[in-house]
Amino acid sequence: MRCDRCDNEATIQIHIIENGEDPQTINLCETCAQNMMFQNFSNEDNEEYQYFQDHLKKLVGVFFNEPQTRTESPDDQKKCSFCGSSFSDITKTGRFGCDHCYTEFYEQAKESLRMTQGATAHTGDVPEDFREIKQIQDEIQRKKEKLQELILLEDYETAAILRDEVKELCNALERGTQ
Amino acid sequence: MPKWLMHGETREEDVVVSSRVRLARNVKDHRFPNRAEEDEAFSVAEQIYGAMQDKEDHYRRFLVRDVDRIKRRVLMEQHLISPDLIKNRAVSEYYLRDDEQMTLMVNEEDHLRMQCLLPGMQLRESFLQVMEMEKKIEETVPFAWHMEFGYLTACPTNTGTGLRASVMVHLPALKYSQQLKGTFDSLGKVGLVVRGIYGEGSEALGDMFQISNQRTLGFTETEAIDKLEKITNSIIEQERNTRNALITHTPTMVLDGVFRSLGILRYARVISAKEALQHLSHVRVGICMELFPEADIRKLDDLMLHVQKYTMLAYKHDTKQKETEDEVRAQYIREYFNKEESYGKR
Repeated sequence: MRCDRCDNEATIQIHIIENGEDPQTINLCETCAQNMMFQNFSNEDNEEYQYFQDHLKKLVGVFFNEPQTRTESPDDQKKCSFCGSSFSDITKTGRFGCDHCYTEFYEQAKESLRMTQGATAHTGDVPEDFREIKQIQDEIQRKKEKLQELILLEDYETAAILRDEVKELCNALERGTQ
Repeated sequence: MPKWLMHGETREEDVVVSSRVRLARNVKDHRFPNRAEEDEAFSVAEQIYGAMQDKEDHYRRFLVRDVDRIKRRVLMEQHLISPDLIKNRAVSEYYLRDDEQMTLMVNEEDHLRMQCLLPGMQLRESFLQVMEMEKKIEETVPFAWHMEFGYLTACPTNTGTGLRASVMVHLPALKYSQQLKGTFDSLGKVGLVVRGIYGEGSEALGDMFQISNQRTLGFTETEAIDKLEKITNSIIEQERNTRNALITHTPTMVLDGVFRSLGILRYARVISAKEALQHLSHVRVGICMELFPEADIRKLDDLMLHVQKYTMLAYKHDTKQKETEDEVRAQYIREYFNKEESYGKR
């Protein structure tokens, strides 16, 4: 596999998946990857590379290293109350410290999942204990969508019934998760 | 001979050597192995041990640190355990089923990695077996779970289903006719990834490639398996068509390739793993072409596993041979082909 920018052997392959479109693939050698992260490509005519550079910076920031341009945010000081990992520990190692990190660093976790997987919502198997809750959640989602349709159709009477059903399901969910 | 290769019927074995499905899981409210102190890792291992109690008849438990250094690498070469499990040997362990088709790795990158490895094209069977094991363990061990993200893993690339399905495919004709790049580029577009025979970052040897799903979020386990199966079927067809075209248009060249390789394997005195695998790949094509109607393709696949570095070193050690690894390998292969009458007389 050859680097897209020079003819050296490529060691880094990046797939960019955005908005469910077909992924784009970039092959880079180590030198070009480093150059692309930290140099400006204002003279570079190729728009594509600037786009790649932005993504590469983001990806590397989320996953491997602190990007040089990043400013300190209050979250950088925060540590997971369960395992003590900071988000900077997680980006350095590319590994979460425990299951609690995913809720304590919810936004960052979601972003890293979006960057690495192109999706954030699990649709697969659910553990036995959570199956009922998942069903209620899905039901609420379906009813909410239906509700929007009814409102557009100005069928307020049916909409009101559905709204009450949603409310009831939400209450049931709250009771279930307590 | 690795037992996993020998059990059960196989399908599409002219192209698909093996199918594997693995699930990654972590135990709720415990630090992941990269963050856990030894005590916590041991406590996780004990929980898994508890869940495995009623399966003791069919499974054996091994602590990685107690397994001989070379033996560990042999298990890795035979795809029974992973490099990360060896790296974490202070706290890692594994359970191996009698037929060696199912392995549970404990304290690898995640607390638990369950894998089912079957010969030939058996993705679905492999998936069913691994899911059954997962459900069994889940009865007593609560797994790390998030309503939105699914099963939580140390690396975000496994979060969601935690499922990685892969097939090991033998693609000599596509490689020879330089069609691999096109084929592999299109795999990237549908979220699949190609690797060498030892997984990530490894070199493709003996025209063997491992194709697996890249993503674990946004689709179900069954969708992931279906997709890999569908794409693999199309690769099988491409490879077969290309083999047929080469045999039709350049029969002498193909025959020359197969028999020249057989000759080298039969007579070489020094041979590296890489070279041996390349020639064995050619002989494998010969078996698929029915040039050696009596030859057993699974025995050849087994030989391909045996000629690898650590398996050979273990053999050299066991047989107390003084020669170099490459000499021992050449002798091992010579003996194999001299014993096997299915490849014709010398």
